[in-house]
Amino acid sequence: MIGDKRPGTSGPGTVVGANVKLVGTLQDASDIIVHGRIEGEVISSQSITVTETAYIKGPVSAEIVTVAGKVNGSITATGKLEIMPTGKVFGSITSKDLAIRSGAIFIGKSTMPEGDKELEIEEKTASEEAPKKGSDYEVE
Amino acid sequence: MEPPKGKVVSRQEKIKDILGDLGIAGETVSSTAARTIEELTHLGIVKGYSTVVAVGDESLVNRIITVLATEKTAKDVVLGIIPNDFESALAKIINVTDLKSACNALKYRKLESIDLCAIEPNKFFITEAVLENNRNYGIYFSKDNLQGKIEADRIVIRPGLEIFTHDRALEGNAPSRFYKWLFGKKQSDIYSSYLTAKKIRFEAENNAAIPIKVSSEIVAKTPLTIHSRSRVLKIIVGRDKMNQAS
Repeated sequence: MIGDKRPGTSGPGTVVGANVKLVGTLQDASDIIVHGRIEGEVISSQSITVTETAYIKGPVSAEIVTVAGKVNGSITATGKLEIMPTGKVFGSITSKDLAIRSGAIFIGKSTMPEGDKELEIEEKTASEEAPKKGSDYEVE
Repeated sequence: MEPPKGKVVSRQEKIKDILGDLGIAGETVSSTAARTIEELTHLGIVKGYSTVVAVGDESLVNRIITVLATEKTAKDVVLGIIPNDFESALAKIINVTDLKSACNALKYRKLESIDLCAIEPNKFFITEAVLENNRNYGIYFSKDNLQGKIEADRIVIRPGLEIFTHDRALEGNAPSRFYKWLFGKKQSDIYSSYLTAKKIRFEAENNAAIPIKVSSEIVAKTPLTIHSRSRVLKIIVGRDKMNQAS
């Protein structure tokens, strides 16, 4: 029977099925798993998983964000951000632990906060990215 | 108690005997054409009873909790339940397995505050409500700052306002499901949804009136609003319930 068990979650949280379209702000203190379509902000204190069938048009913010679907908006992960091979991200991303798998598409700006300083890498052509002594970029 | 008829009379006598043996005494009333369950519950509250024991199915229990949850003077009244069906969700909530354990639970009077859901204006339920149609239907919902549309034939709402949906049509037709099963092509369940809310409103596509059922009884039709009331009712539960939870 439907509802006999909580689908796909290890605890309380929100699961947006592939047959669901949402408009507005989806906020949950627990994990959020998105298989469907959301137009608006998605916020979690824990993790957000955007699966292959999902499409999010709006900002995404959580401790851990995993993207296997499509996100058209900024992503802020206070912990880890992982873009899977099927993932497509169009927008700026902010995370101190970033993994972009082979095959993933990312078009946007990446910011990596590291303590008080921020390492900011803008998408540039390979020639522009050639390292120079005394560069504006500083890595610690 | 439910109105006595045939077999029910002997069950009621049996319950009275067990309760008598356990040293539990009290007024026993049954609904009649002249006095409904709601009126009898109200009378019990007026008389100052601290405990109301419902003997019957979930439908009867829901009618009693609707009175207990809506009458201000019933705030401290405790509900005991002796279910008809010990395999039911109701029996599982109070953790009783048979008539004897249900009566024993009344004796030991272990209390638990539970959440209830109310279908506006005032249809309370204790286990679950099911918004159901014989085919997939577009259901619009709104909660907090969120609006959405679900394609589903069945939406289950439980206390704490937990909402489960599943769209069977998206799983494919019977041959494709058989093919997946035969070749072990297991797919993760992407067609189920789980949401929580404090208050949610459902409207069906084209303003259709989709029925919502509580214990197989239609209690309302869309559009409808359901809200959650947490820890609104004290019920008597079986002694092992807390141990199981931990």
